[in-house]
Amino acid sequence: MNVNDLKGEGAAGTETPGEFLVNLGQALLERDDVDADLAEVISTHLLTAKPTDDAVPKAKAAILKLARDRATQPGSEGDNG
Amino acid sequence: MADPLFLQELNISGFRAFLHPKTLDFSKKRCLAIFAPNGCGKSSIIDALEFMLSEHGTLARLGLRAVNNQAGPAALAHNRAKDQEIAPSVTISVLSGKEKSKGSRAASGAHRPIPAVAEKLNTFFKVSPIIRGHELRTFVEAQTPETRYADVANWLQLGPLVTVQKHIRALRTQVKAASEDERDIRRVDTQLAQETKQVVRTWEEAEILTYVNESVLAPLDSTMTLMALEADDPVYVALQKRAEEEATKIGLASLRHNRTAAADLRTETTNTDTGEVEVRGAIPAFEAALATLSSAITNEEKERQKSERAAFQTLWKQAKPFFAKDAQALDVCPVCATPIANTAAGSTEAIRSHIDQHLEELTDYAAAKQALDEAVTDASRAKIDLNGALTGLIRFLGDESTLKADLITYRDSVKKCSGSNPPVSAGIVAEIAEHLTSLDKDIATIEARQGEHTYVKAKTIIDRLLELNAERKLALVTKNQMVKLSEALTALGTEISASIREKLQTLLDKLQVPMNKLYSVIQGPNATTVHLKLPSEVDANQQRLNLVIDFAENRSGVQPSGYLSDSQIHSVALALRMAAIMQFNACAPVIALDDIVTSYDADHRRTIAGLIATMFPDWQILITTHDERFFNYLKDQLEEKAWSFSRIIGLDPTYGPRFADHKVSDEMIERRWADGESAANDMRQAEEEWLLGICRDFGVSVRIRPLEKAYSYERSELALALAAILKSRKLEPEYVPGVNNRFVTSLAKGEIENFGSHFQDAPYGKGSIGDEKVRWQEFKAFRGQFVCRICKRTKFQRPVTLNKPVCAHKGCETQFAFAG
Repeated sequence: MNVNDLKGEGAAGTETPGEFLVNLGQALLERDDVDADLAEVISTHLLTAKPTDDAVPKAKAAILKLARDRATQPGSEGDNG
Repeated sequence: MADPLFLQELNISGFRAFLHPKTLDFSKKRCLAIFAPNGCGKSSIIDALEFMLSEHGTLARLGLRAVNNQAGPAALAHNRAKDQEIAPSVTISVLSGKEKSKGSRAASGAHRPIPAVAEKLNTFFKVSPIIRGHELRTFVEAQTPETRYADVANWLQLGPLVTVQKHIRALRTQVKAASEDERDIRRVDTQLAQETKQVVRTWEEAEILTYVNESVLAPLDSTMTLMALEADDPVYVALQKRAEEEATKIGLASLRHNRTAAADLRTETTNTDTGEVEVRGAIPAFEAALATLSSAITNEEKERQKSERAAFQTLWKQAKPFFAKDAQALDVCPVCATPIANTAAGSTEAIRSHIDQHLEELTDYAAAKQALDEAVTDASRAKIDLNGALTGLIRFLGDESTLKADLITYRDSVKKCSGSNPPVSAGIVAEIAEHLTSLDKDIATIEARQGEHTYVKAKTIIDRLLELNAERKLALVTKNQMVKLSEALTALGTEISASIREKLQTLLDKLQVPMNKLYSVIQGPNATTVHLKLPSEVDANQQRLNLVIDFAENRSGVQPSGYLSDSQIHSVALALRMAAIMQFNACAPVIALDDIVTSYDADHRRTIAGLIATMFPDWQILITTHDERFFNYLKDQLEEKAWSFSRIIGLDPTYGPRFADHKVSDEMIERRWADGESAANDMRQAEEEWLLGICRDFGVSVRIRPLEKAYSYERSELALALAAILKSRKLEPEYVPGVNNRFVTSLAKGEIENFGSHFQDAPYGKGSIGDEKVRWQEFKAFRGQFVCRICKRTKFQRPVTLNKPVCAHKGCETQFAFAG
């Protein structure tokens, strides 16, 4: 037995982490049952192989803005409870 | 499939333990095993590879900066490199088929960019090719499942995915906290309390309406009751209208403004001290200004008549000194030569009196003229003021008002008034007085009824409450949206994390079989099965990796540290790492093993040497070890055609690790020149290596070494020793034709030639390759004379019983002599 007997197909080599994350983000964006705006925020700021140091604060700020934008849209109702 | 990528050469200079440049050549034998006692610099070779491949140009144990226990990148460079003017660097060349790539990386300074060749290597290394012994045991025994998860992910080059999971956990925590944040709502309550004078402190609409109806509206109109805090409430609509009317007509503020405007025209006040009635306002001011103007006109006219002869003013001023009292009396006029006695005045005194009278008349006229000018200005200003005051009051009056019409008529009269006679004002003055009386009465009535409450104020308060209501609703809706987004994020994060876990588990599953096979090779066929499991858990927690074994039928899935020996634990980690490398790094089949056998007994060391020989025959493996027995097992079991074996015999602080038998080949030097590089250092190393070998063969006399340099032979003393034995045995080498024979001469004379600076002034600078070639030709010619005359072999020996060395080949043993 030698290494060739154990050598696999190299799944890790077929898709880099960066490609995996991009594909994951794209798959989320294409789904109907996922909040597209939220998926966009996550894909932009977090689903990348080299996120910025302030990726989390930026994503949080984007989600807060999303909440405010939705709150000010006509017909938006709050829970007064 | 592309050709696999192998290391061709590794050059280390001024880096870690290596001060002077050292080249490890893998072109003939791709694998290398190095034995060295501890602290001799063997790990620096593996460090060089780790540094070259690192993203940020450092080592994991040094970190990016000096902090806590980490020394930072400053520890990359040899501590004497700067003094020796050696630029710390690592150079690597790789070969894939016939394609060769090479690149250097600076190991000092803030900027240590990764060369293209290392980036290329990294694309082939799906998992790190470096395994260090000290990490193995820690991984199994001391690490938590959380750190183990991160480590395994990093080994599998999936570190970015772990970072994503970490970021999503952090984001979810922060977004959840933000969705529960009620500061905006509390801020509205704080402002509500301020607006209601602390009557209502928290938002209860019923309480707010009670406050508004009882404290804000009732003092104005007890019938007004706001039913909802909405802008379309009928009472609020009515309030808006009344506030508007109040501002322009019937309100207290409006009445007060109206009264101020009327009083600006004319008002009478009684001085409480003197009891006198004082009349003020624009009308009396205008009339007084016109009266003053009229008087000024009359006075100016009178004074002007007196000074009709004002044209003689200059003459009188010039004549006055001649007829002054203290002047010499004149007999004749100095102007017309008429005898003084014959003039109309008849005497000097009479003339002086005449001059004085006329000059005085002129002064009075000038004063009257100035007074007239000022009166005209004052009258004009008073007229403007009156016009403005009239307009101000007219604005407050309704069209149906008689006073308004009369004021307009009076204003027209004022505008037309051009002289000093004002229009008759008695009528309008009486009307204004009557208007003031009426206003005072209305104001007193309103003040008695509603105090300082006004519709405008009431509207302002309710408007602010409406704003706060809108802010509160927005805060509630935003919070509600945040709650929804937080829930969606939780679901999304769970899915993302699950996808990452699935990817990692897929890779781990691929490793289970090869890992257990490797493990059973090391530990024997009865070795327990090892499992790598990612427990299904709530995504909010940090991801974990469970590494468990089936120890026995009644002990399956247990933690290895509780059941396995040290060597078994070590083997679990080693098998996992090697399985990952063989599984994923097939395109660059390179493994660097740094001291991996510390926990093993002799049998296991032999087994691991056998494992490397049998399971990795096609791989390029670099092994460093301080275990001599393991080193010998490797030499016994590994193929000589693919493996070099070298020893580091000591660490010279002024040089670096001293290698016992690693050779600089002629091809390495030729390759340097082919690449357009200087080979001076390689030549020096080659000469030293040859000198060491020939001195050993010839059994030269070398003085006893100092204790701190037990293994270190300097080139100079080797040269001296070789020269001494050649001279004593009357062995004289031939001079090499066509060159200066500096090498031979220095040897023959027993002199020391410092070849390190032979071709250039600056150490390790770029010298002339032509000079180097001449020098190398001389050395090779000299070296070529040390060959057996009979069998042409180059290995000699000199047992102590022999005076001269003999050929080391057992079938020859011919006494050495130079061919000449």
